[in-house]
Amino acid sequence: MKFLVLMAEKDSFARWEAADAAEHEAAFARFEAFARAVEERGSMLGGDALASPDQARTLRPADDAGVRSVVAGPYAETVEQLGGFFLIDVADLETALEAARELPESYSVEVRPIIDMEPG
Amino acid sequence: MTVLEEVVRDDWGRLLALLVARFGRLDLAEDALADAVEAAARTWPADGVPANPAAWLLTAARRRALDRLRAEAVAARRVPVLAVEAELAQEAQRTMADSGEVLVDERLRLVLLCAHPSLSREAAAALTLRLVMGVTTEDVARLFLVPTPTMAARLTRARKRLAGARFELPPPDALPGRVTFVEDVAYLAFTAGYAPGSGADVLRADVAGEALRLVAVLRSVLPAGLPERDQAELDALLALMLLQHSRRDARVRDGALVLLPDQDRGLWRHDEVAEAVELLQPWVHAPPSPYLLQALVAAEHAIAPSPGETAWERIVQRYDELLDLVDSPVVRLNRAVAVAEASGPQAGLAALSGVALPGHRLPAVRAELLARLGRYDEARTAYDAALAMCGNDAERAHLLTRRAETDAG
Repeated sequence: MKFLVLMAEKDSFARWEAADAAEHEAAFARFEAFARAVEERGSMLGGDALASPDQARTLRPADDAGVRSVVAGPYAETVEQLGGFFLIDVADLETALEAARELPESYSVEVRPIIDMEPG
Repeated sequence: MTVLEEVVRDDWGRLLALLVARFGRLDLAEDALADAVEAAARTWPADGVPANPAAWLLTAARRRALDRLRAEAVAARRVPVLAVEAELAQEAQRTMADSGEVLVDERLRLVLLCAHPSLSREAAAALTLRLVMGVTTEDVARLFLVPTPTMAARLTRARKRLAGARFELPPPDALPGRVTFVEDVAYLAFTAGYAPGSGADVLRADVAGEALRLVAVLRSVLPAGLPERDQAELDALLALMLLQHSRRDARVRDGALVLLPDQDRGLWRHDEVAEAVELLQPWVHAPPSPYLLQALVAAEHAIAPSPGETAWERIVQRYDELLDLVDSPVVRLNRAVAVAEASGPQAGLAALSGVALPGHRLPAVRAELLARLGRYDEARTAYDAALAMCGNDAERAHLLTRRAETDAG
């Protein structure tokens, strides 16, 4: 079963920049532990880090006049910033959550099943 | 030169060394700094040059490096890092966090890293030009007369070889040995510019100038208290390069090579000669060492008012001392030239006997001496041998002219 794992953290980007080498190392270790945990239970399909929200552009829904505007910033203005994502393939939601516990503790991690379009 | 070009020229090595100290990775530091320079080229013309251009580049490079680290972490891609002491890494981190002045100067570590014993001198020279001096890969390729992709691949291999190396200052007793390697690397780069082995240029003053700048940087970043002999060698190397470089305008006339005796001495850069002589002054009576003796020979030429007034006996004596230290065919060849000037072509030829040296220089000197003795048939054979091995267009033209003159004689 495939899952999207979304990692968000309060002021994630400023925190990363302010962190020192030891804190960065600690984060690297958590990512590695997560990758190992996923591989033990299934497979890692991919993952990437995202650029900071100020580089995002959002195409807004059309207004009454049918005009769609592009605004700076992410889809949802929240304190928590989406910093990266993984795509993993493991048996079930519980297993996915188990692996997700390995990620840095300051993160809020959303694990959401991906709808299977393969006939099966 | 734009402000950006100036900052890159003067601060590249310093900024890169600081980034390497903080992140422990050459590739990351270099890419980040290159990105920052690229961003500066894009934004400064419109936004104006920042108050502290070097600090701006450092901040931009640091952000870029952190972004990439985060991306690599998510992708769980581990890259080997250089061994950097925790204290230095923290110091570098503090400097960057204050985003102000670049206070720590770790260029010496960077210079020593590039002159790593695991690299060939050629690779070390190219890497030093790129990393310490900030010469672009395209320009390094041009300087070494190879296509850019070839040089890029060569630089990448050299960087990979250094992964896991130590970004450190060797213990005081090992420092002179490493400095000697840097000197050789710098002199190799200098020679590549001063007497290109191949191609159309008689001389590439820009490479020679970069190598000179490297030795000047090395002198400025080395700690005080180097053993006397090593200090003498370093000063002598800078003097030797300055003396040779001071003749650049006289060495070429209408695209052709002009040899020392035929050079217009009015075209020599006399301020550079003076600087070199001043560097050598304290060492004139120092115990002999290789660069010192070569510099003293070069100085003899520089202070002679005319070729006829050159103190050839003293030059022969310097070469004799040099032979005692390093018995190499190149030294023997140069000594034979001096002997010929001091005691005539017959003595010069005798001094050449037993010298074996690949390349065109040995047969070219032999041809010249044979021609002076009126032994034209032998001279022509020797010129042909020299021409067959000479890859530099300007030198070939010179040899062809000389050969034609033996036909007339």
